[in-house]
Amino acid sequence: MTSSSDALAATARAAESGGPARTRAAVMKRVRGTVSLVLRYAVAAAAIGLAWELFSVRFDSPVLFPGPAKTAARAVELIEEGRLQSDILISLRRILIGFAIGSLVGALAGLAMGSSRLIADLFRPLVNFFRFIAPTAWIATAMVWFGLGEASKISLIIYATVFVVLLSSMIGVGAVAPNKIRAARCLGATDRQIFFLVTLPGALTYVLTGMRMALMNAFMTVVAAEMIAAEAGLGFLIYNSRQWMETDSIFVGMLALGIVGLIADRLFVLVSRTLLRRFSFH
Amino acid sequence: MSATRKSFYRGAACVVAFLVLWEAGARLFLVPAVLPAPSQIAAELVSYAATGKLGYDLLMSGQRVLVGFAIGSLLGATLGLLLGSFKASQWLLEPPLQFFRFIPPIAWLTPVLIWFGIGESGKYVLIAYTTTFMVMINTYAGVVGIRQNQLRAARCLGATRWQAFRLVIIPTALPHILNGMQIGMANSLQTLVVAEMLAANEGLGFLIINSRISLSTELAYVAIFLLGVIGFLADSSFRAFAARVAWKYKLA
Amino acid sequence: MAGSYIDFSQVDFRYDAGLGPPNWILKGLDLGIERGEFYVLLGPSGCGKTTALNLLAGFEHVHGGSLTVGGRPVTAPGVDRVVIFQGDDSLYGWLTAQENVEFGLKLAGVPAGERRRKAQQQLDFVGLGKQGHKFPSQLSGGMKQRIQIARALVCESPILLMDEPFAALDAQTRAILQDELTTIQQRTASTVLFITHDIGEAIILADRVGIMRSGPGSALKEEIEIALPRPRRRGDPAFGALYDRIHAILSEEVTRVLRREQASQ
Ligand SMILES: Nc1ncnc2c1ncn2[C@@H]1O[C@H](COP(=O)(O)OP(=O)(O)OP(=O)(O)O)[C@@H](O)[C@H]1O
Ligand SMILES: [Mg+2]
Repeated sequence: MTSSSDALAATARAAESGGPARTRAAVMKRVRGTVSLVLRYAVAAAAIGLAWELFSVRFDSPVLFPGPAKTAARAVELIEEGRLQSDILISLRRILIGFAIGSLVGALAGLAMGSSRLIADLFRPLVNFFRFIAPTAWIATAMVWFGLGEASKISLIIYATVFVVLLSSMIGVGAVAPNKIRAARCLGATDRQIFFLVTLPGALTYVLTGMRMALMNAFMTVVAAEMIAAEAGLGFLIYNSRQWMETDSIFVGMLALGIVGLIADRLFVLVSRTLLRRFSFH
Repeated sequence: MSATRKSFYRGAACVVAFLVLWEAGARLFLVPAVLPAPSQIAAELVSYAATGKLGYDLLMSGQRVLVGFAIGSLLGATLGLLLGSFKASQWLLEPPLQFFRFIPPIAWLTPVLIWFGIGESGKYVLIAYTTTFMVMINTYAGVVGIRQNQLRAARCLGATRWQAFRLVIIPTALPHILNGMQIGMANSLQTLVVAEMLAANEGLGFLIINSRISLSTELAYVAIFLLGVIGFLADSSFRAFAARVAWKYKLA
Repeated sequence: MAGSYIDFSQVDFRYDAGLGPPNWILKGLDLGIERGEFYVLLGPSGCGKTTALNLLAGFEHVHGGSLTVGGRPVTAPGVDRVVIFQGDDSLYGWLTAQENVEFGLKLAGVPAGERRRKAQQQLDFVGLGKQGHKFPSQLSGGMKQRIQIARALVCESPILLMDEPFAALDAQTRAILQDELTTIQQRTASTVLFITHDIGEAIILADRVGIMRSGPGSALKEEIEIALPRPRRRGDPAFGALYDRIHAILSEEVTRVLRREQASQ
């Protein structure tokens, strides 16, 4: 994981410092990083597949514990029916909308609370209480308020996202080194300039870290919400298949969750790296 | 001192305003089935507690979390320390760990129900898994992120592998273990609620979901409120513990 | 150099770069240090001084040639070759200064009372006798560096590997510690490999100074015997002559590095 991202970072740094020789070396390095990473994942996948197969043979019950082959066959069926794709898309859509709104609100509120003593004092107790209530505890309430449609799931994901991003943005503002602010001030920066040119870029790393954690929370929440109150989505697929004892479908749903989550996380890291390079001084 | 007091009054004022607005709004515009007023929730808390049933729900939820959490923390810390200490296991196990990270523990509920039934053991397993995973990846990251010179210093001062593990790696990992436990506790509460909603006849999660059938929304809010209180208490006791006992072992 | 107490002979070392071309840091390094000798290594930044020290400490392993101490190949770190690291990130943040200094003794199973006494002695020596109860995070950079020095000295190891140990200190403390180090080294007859960028420091301390070429594939460029009587003074005319000579050799290498860096941009 880290080796590939480090390779990417190195590529970017080398590309910035220019020079064709360096860039070629950097590309080579990147290719090597990717190759070794793919190799690693292939080995890991093979090892897990093998362990899984052995386990299912020992278990000897395709209903209780289907092996990789049966699961793969089921995955193909689900894809041919179009169910898997649509469940993935439905879950993803809920996550993306909720995550985007939650991150925006969380970041704005966190920056505000980090920059203003008054705002922080006012809202800290409320935030500190609500952030400890598990988002899943609101599922029943969300259904009452927003009905059984999309709005209830999205609102839950917003809730799961907001507090994580808020807290880490607030910490980020506090973590900007005082000397950076002093330096800007003695170069004649106004409060406004200090906020936009020093505080914001400095806090950006924290905002993005918070968002990355929140993304995982969003996945967790969407699954829970779909298990309890939905007619589609990966959580629904996983929970509903229990009624028909389709353990293979359950496994397909879980694997899909893992893959989609992993890809989403990687994409997020990629985008945030680009953002940081662009807007932050490191 | 006066600055702290000022913060406190501001916060308190905001909480009071929030409660007053909520109370007025709920009483004037909404029926309790949509949003009960704070006073109604408080009244329900008192009357339900008086029946003694609340104590039972709390006991069951608490027991599930604590047993699963204790097992999970122990297992997670051990696994994380071992995984981080061996190069080969790093190479082999990091990719699958990264993958399983994205399967929310809640998703395991269905297979766990199939394998373990709806008894208590399934819930322990689920919460133990939730905690194990969080503690393990945090511990692992702590061990892997150890500063190379600290290990090298130990080796050149004559430490055996076991001494280096005991005297350098464990102290370095300790704050990460605590951090993982803190997140693991929060996640466990999430898992618990869903598990109790879908597969239990008692506990806070059951209260929440059951209120839809019994039409006592107030009770659901009592449960939500208590979940917040439990989460807050768990988190603050972790902080207090870290500050009192483990203050030397700060995150680098 | 064959036959020296510490003997680098034709040592090659690279950092692995996966499938790509190897990244040679050292190529054919020959370096010998006699028992009881104070050897100072100079060279442009990034030339591989720390790398050579890491090899001798046993943290890294040679990819070619041989490295022996007292005739035996170096295979692993050991308490006979204690290291003072470049920078202060090797102290243990959860131990007090005193406990950090005691660490090596504790590993060796020295009883607590004796441990405390010896550690206190070293703390006094580095001028931090009253700061033993503090944690590294409560100490300044120079103080942390002195704790590290005390932690190494307390082990009374026959070989001391010091990587820019005085770089973070103020000039006065540095001069005092240089004098003290000379005294200790002569009293205990320990062998020292000492890395620095400070030519003056090199001449004050060294029996012999080795100057490395700029990398990649670095090796020793030149060795200079320092035969001045001790205690040495910077005002000495012989000191000035040596200084100029070493400075000329070094600046040739440093200029080469700079020119190459500029050309590649
Ligand atoms: N872990 C590592 N991986 C890859 N390359 C490294 C690593 N450590 C050092 N290098 C490279 O090896 C070369 C020599 O490094 P070394 O630390 O030995 O230099 P040095 O002479 O001690 O420099 P300085 O005087 O600045 O401390 C440098 O070019 C550095 O970039
Ligand atoms: Mg160095």
